[in-house]
Amino acid sequence: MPPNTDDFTDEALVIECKKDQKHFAVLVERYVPKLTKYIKRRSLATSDDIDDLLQNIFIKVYRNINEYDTSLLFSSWIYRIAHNEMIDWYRREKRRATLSLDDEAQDIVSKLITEEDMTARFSHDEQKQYIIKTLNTLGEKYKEILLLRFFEEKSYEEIADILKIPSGTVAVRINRAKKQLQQALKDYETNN
Amino acid sequence: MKPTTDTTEKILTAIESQRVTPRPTWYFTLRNSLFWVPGIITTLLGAYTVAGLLYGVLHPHPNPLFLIAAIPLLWVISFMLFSMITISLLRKTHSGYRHTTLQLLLISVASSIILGLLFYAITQDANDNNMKTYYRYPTEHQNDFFERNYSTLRIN
Repeated sequence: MPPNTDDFTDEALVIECKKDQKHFAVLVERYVPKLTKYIKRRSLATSDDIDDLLQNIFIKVYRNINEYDTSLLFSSWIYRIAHNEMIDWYRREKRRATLSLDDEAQDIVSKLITEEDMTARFSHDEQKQYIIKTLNTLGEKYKEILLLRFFEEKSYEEIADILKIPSGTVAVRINRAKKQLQQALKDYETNN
Repeated sequence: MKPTTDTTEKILTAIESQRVTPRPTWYFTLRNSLFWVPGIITTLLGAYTVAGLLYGVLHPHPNPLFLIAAIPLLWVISFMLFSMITISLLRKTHSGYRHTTLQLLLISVASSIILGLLFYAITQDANDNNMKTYYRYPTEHQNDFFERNYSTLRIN
């Protein structure tokens, strides 16, 4: 009787994939929803673009499955491939990364506000929209890092592995991004 | 496993129709090994420089400017160039990106110093003999070379 792969961790599934490629379908099933959300939040891609991007990502994952290093979380590795694929896509399409936040993401913006102790001042939808707009004015590296930290809920270590940078740099960039965001919110407060 | 969504099915069909196959493990092992080649060259260049400098410091020449003349400038420049290449390539290895540029530079310099000390210790006897000969019987050619290239550095 074949093992029930539903209970397998991603890392165990990759090991199984190397033995029997049919297990790859389970990984695809697990990551299609997560990566779809990630791509949607990072871009204004159409559903056809998203399908193409997902296809390219999973083809790369499958082709390079033997490169996967089990000391790394599989999710970090696949997000790294997705991140690189997105960058290639921006280049091909000559676009700039734009955060496009859904309803769920707006709740996360609220969480970010709460964490930054700005609840009293920023609680209305209009102000949340302003925050999203402000997020989009940040530099690419800050935008990406805030997205991974607050929207994809990745740890500092995971972000370091995804972006291939030291974890100290992750902390520095998050702090700078928060400061820039706070400054923008202060400006908003002053002007309104 | 049977795909449960259209997207999953499309992806799996694309993999099958494009006949995508996983690259073999040896391909990645070889590629990752290549990233280390500039690192090895850098360390060797650095070690050679350290050994040369150490010899210059521990065996002072009657003319102190000899030490300046003895600094292997080409090696130093090559070392700096290869260090930059090494650091950028080490970032592409499995765990190289976890270290800062400073950490990678320090590791590179420390390896060169350790290996340089080793080079110096191994070749010390041979160097001593060569230098004794040089000091006792400097040839006309050697003196000319020094005069031609480094006479402007002389302290009168």
